[in-house]
Amino acid sequence: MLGLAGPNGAGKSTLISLMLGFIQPTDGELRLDGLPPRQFVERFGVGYLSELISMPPRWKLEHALRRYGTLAGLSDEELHSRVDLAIATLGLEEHRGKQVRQLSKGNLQRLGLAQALLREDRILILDEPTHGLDPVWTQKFRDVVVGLRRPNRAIFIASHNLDELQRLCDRVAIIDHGKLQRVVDMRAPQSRVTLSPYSLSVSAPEGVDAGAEVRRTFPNARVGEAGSWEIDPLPLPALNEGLVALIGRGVLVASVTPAHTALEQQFREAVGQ
Amino acid sequence: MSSTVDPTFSTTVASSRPARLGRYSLWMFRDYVLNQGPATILVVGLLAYVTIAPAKAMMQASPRAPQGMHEWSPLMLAQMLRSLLGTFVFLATLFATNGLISNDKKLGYYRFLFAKPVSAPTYYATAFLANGVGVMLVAGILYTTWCVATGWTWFPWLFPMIALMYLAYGGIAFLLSAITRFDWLSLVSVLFAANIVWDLWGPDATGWRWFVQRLLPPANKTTAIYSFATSHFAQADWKAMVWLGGYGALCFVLGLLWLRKRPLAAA
Repeated sequence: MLGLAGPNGAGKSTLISLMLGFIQPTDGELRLDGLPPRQFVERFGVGYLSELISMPPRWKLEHALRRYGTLAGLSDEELHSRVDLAIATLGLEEHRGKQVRQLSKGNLQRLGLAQALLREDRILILDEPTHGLDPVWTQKFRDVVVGLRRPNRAIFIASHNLDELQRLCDRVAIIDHGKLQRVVDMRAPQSRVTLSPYSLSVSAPEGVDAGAEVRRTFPNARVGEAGSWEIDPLPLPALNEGLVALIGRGVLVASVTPAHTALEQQFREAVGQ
Repeated sequence: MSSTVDPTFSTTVASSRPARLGRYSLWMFRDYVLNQGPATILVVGLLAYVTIAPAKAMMQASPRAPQGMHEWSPLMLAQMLRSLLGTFVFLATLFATNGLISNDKKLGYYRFLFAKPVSAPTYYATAFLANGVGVMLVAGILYTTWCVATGWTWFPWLFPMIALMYLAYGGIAFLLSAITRFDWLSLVSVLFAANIVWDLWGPDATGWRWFVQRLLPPANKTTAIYSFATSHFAQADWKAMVWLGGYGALCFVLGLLWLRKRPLAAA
């Protein structure tokens, strides 16, 4: 499972359009399993969820899935079972008779995902898959995607949500200005332990100036969000040493967390933010 | 976090399996029957009414007024049918082919459609055919209505000529829909220009005028086709048929080539 991250305009959606053969490269060459993209898609099909869900507004939800299933080459028997399964999996039972134009943004997003899952495709491309989903369905979506892993399947997820990519993906490709900046292997231990700023929340009993003590221990500390302190990146032994000193002077340390996740940190470095 | 969702679809991925376009064409035909079909019947029906009503009123003013349209002279009925046939063929084709490709591109419907194992040329050729069958169905309904009002007269070449004109006009519309977003406007402009050019310069144009006439659709040939379609005595103008059909077929093939060679989306 490969994540695709990058700032707005980095080229994520353009790359996906290239992979589907919707546009042609102005330079270079792109192949899917040795074939030009359009040839691959026309032969095998790709499970694709686009960022913008565009379907004729008068199509009924169930009919839309039947249509896409027929185009995906499903037999009448498979069509019946796969459409029912997709509807059940994405929690769309009560909407199956509704027209596309009557669906909320979240339900439309789920319909988009349902049509991408109708067939067991070798390649799945999900562009901003949780866009418009509520927190419950965002979590359920993650469960669905985890269940889609197959040994001979490639899943691409393009998202602005780095937390989502960190949770789901084996690797995350970070692109910017149309170029691959780096690939972060989420399974490698070093990607999880990087030098990152820390966010420190403290309080103190009467008579102890917590702020002054934090500044004394960590001279470069800055006031962060919601009364917390932000500490510049430093090695773990130095951080622990400072915390011990702080506690020793009577300050109560409520929490110490990395200000950015490992992937966020990599992302910031890669795009120069 | 636990979930009640069972995400297990399968443990294997699909092998190569093409789209079932034959089956899908039933959806396309259904769309035509529910959308463009009724619109065509309504508009052509309205135009037929405004064509027939004044003639009927004029006849009823005379002392020996016929009781119904079945008592009108065959010549008058044939002329009226010919005029309505021209209107029907143009409007039915326009409704059936307008936005056939351009709407999918403009509204982004192509994204889900062409992530499936289907090529754009095959898909749109099927849609063109399915809508053509729809046009013939509507023609059948309207002609039956005409026969009920005027008495049954069977013209054996009526439906083949409607099919030919669908290919002629529809082929042009297909190409325009593939290459431009303003297909109905382009189609009307092209046909209007063709009519003007043939009326102004006539069949004996020379030089660049001759070239322009041949480049535009052979609008001058339609009269011969409609006469042949609505008469038992008119001679078949095979040259006109081949020219019109060939022009439409060529445009259709160019449209398919455009779809094959050009990207579906703008970069």
